[in-house]
Amino acid sequence: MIATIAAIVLAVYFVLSVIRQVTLVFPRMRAFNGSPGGARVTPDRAVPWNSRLLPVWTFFSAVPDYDVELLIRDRLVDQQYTPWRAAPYQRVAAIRWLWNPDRRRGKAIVDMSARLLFALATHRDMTAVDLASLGPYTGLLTYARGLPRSPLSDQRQFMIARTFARHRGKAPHIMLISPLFPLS
Amino acid sequence: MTDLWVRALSVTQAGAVNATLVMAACGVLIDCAETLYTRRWYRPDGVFNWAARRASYAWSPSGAIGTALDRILAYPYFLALTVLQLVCAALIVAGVTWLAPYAVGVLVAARFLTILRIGPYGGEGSDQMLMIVLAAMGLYAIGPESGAGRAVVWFLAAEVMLAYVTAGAIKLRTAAWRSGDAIQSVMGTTLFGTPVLAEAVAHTRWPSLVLCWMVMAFECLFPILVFCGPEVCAATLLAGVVMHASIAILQGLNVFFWAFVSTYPAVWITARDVHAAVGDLLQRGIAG
Repeated sequence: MIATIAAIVLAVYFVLSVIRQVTLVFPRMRAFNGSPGGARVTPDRAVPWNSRLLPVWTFFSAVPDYDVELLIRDRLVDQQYTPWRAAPYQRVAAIRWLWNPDRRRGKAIVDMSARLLFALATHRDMTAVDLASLGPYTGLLTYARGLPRSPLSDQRQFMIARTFARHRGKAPHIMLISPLFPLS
Repeated sequence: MTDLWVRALSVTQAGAVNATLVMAACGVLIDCAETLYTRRWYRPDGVFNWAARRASYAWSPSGAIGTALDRILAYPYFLALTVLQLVCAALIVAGVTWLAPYAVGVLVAARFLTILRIGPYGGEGSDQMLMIVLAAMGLYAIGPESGAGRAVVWFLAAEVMLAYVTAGAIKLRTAAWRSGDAIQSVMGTTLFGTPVLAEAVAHTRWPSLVLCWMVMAFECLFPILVFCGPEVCAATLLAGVVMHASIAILQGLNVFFWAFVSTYPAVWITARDVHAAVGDLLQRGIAG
C-alpha cells in the first residue's frame, strides 16, 4: 500500500516536472537566442507561490556576459550630491567552492535588476506609483536604503549599470537611475 | 556480468540512499551556515526582507496562514528555522540514524518554507534539487524496505536525467553555446565566473568551444550513457562529479555540487537494476 502511494506521488511529480520543462522552458528557446541576458525574466509582476515547487532546469542557458553593478549616491541636507559609489554585493572568497555566503545576495540583486529592467522595457508608460509597487524595485530600494550613510545624507538614489570583463573592451552601460527616496 | 557490476551488487539500496541523504544534508548544512553568517540580509532593511518577498507573490497569505507564515518567516524567526535545519542536517551527517527519519521530515517542511522565504530573487536550481531529494528521502523513510524504496531511487535517477537533458537540449538551441562563446562570457562575470581565468584565455577560442560542447554532450547523453554498462556508467558519473566540482571552484556554486551529486548513487542503483532486468529478459528469451 505504502509502495503504491509513494510510486503514484513520485510518478505524478515527475510527469508534472516533464510538463513544466516542455511548457515553460522550451518555448523560451527563441528568446534565449535573441536576448541572452534578459530572457530569464518573464513579464508577470507577481509570482505564483507554487512556482518554485516544480523545477526549471535551464542551467545558464541564458548566458550572462556582463556584471550588474549597483551604485548609490546621496543628496545631503545642503542639496549637494555625493559622488556615485559602488554598493558591492559580491566578495570573491578564495574557498568559494566550499564557502560562498555572498552567493545568494549577489544572485538576488542580479535577479531583481533583470526583472525590474524587463518590466520597465515592456511597460514604457509606467508611472512612479507603478514603479514603487514593483517587488524588484522595492527590494532594491530597501537594500540601497539600508546601506551605510553619512549623518548629513537626506535622500538617496540608486543606479543599475552593466559592466563587462576587461578583455571585452566594452564601456559600462547605465541601465536605470532611480528617483530620489528619503533615507529616514 | 562484469566485475564492476559484481562489486556494485554489494552496494545495497539502503547504502546508496544513505549516501544520497548524507550528501544532501551536507548541502543543507553549508547553505544554512551561510544564511546564518549573512543573517543581516534577512532583516527588514536587508535584501531578503520578508515584506518585499511576501508582496511579490500573486497569492497573498491572509488569516491564520498569513499570521503563521509571518511568525515563521519574518526576521528573526526565520533564523530559528535555519538553525533547526542546521541541527537536523548535522544529525544526519553525524550518522545519528535513529533520529534521521524525523530529521528528514523536519528538513522537508523547513526547506519548503525556505524556498518560499527566498522567493523568486536569489533562488537557485540547487534549492529545488535539494528539496526534491529530501522529499524523496522522506518517502523512503516511510517504507524503506518495500517497493517504495525502489520507487524513490528510480524517481531520483529520472529527475536528474530530466534536469540534464532539459539543460542540454536548451543549450543546443542557444547560439552562444554552439559557438563556444557561452562559457567564456559567463567566466568573464564576477558573480558567476572567474574573470582572471577568462582574461587569460581571451586570445583563444578553442578551450571555451571544446568545454561548451563537452557540457552539452554530457547533459544530452547522460541518460543514455549511464545505461551502457558499468564502466561507461561509472565514467559518466565521474565526469559529472568533475563537472560539478569545476562549477563549484570556477563559479562559486558550492551547494549545487552537493544537490546534484547526491542523486548519483540513485542513478548507479537504477542503472544496475535496468541492466539486471534487461539481462533477465535476454536470458528468458534465449531459454524460451
